[in-house]
Amino acid sequence: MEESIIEVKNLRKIFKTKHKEAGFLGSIKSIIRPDIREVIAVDDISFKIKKGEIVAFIGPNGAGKSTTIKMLTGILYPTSGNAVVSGLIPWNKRKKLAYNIGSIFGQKPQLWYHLPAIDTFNLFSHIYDLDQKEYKERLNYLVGLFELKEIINTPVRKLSLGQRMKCEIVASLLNKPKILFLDEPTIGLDIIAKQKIRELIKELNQKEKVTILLTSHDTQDIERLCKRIIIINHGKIVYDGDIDRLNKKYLKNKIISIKFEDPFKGIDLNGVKIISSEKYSADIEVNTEKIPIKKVIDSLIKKYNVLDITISNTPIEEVIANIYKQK
Amino acid sequence: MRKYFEIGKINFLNYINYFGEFFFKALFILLILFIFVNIWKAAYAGKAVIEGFTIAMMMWYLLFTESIVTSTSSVIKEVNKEIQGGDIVYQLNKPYHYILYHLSRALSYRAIGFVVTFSMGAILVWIMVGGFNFNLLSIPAIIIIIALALILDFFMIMSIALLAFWFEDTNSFRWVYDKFLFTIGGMLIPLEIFPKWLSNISGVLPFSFVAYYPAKMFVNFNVNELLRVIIYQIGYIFIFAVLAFTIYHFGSRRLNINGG
Repeated sequence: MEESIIEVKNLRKIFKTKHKEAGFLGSIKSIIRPDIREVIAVDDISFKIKKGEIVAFIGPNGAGKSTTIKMLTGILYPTSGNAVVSGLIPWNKRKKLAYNIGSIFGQKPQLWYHLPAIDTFNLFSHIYDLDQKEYKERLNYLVGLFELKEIINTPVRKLSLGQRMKCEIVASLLNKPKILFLDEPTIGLDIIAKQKIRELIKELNQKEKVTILLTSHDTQDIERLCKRIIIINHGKIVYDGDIDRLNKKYLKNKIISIKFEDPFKGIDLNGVKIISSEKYSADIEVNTEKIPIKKVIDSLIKKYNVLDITISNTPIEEVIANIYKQK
Repeated sequence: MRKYFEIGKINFLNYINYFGEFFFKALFILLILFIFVNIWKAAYAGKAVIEGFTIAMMMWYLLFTESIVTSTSSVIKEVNKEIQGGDIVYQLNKPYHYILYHLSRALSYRAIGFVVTFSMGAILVWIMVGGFNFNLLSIPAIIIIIALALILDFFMIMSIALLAFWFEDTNSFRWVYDKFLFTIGGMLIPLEIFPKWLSNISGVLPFSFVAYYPAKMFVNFNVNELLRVIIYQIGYIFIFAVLAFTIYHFGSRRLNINGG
């Protein structure tokens, strides 16, 4: 059995927030008798992540994923529970842990905007106390891998978003982190740049066995990079397992896209819903719990001359959206 | 320590891009200086010396204190924003200390601010009142005193800024602090002009070691007083550094960043 690099046990975080009624009286009241309420941001969660895994850690806004990551990086103290990250209790050894982790926040660049990326790289080599010879070797390797040779001396403000993100990732990898926290690494990028970033992340994971915890609202990121997904909602883990199993567990619906020789006149079966239709084609949603897919296809073939037929799953974002909606 | 030097260096390089900001800030200070020169000229009418200061010394003194005090960086605003808005997260995931990171930033900013304001102001003061008998050998000591003054000022400001862990806005505390610097810190007038009792009290308070003493050393260098000033500055730096680190220690435990 492979060792866990992240172990979380019964982790809980309660925030105290001040509530204030609207208007002047509300302000006075909040000074005299503040109304402090407790918000459970993370509610007794436990999970383990093995070395070298890429795990998607997702949830709707305010679900508690960001709070969890902040506890795992030692930034926030938990209300109760335990976590061990790379052999350290994060909130007790934040600075020591920082040497072992890298983080990329797609919405918060760490590169100095007016300066070339190489200045930030050099700075990070000192912040992480890297041996300068080893740093140069590491930098050369990453610059080659990410194809950055031409741009590392250009001020960051003059780079494209994709180039900037590549530099952001390189900056986070200089210290050879054991764990990489990726928060929306492809946000705002075009399709080509997204694909490239995903390829590079995957390559790094395979070559360096770096463990990756990915938070993203882009389901393509999740599908392309992760085998395992942890979904958090209302502070609790609502799913932790393979993405494939997620499909099996939550995918009760299949979609049949069909083309006919004759005009389509509908189909009347329990558990079947026509999503869209034109004269010679239709998209039909089948609830496989109510009716087997074979029965629907048989019935369609019997009724019409079918030219083409495709069966697909409900897109993963819909599956996830349905999980988010659950209370 | 190397990493903090490098943080300071990269911030210095970055701030150079905002040279215009420093330049225009200094221009405004020139206007203030111009007004003060005229006020002091009126006060000096018929007098060559007031409390040991010639008019030239007084104006160079004022330029010096203005250059120190107005070079202040936006630490309060930044820390407030980082703690209240949650951006502190992006500082805390790196292996450096949050306070020392800001110290490096602030010193690089203030080094540029001080040099720009002082250089531009020096031209104006020179034209309007001329030079004074400046001891060139005192330059290394003056640089040390300025550095210590800026570090002391930083730790006092940081102690206020970190109250953002408990208070929603710490700018009002900063406002009061600034007024102390302006008055009993000796920014506007040397402590010698105060009544004796106030001058004595102000002379041992930390504010005067930020503005008054460095400026006084500049216009009237005194080796005997130098050591006393440096000892006081180091002592106060120690006290306020301990205070800032203690506030941070307790404050960071109650960090309340929700969302995401």
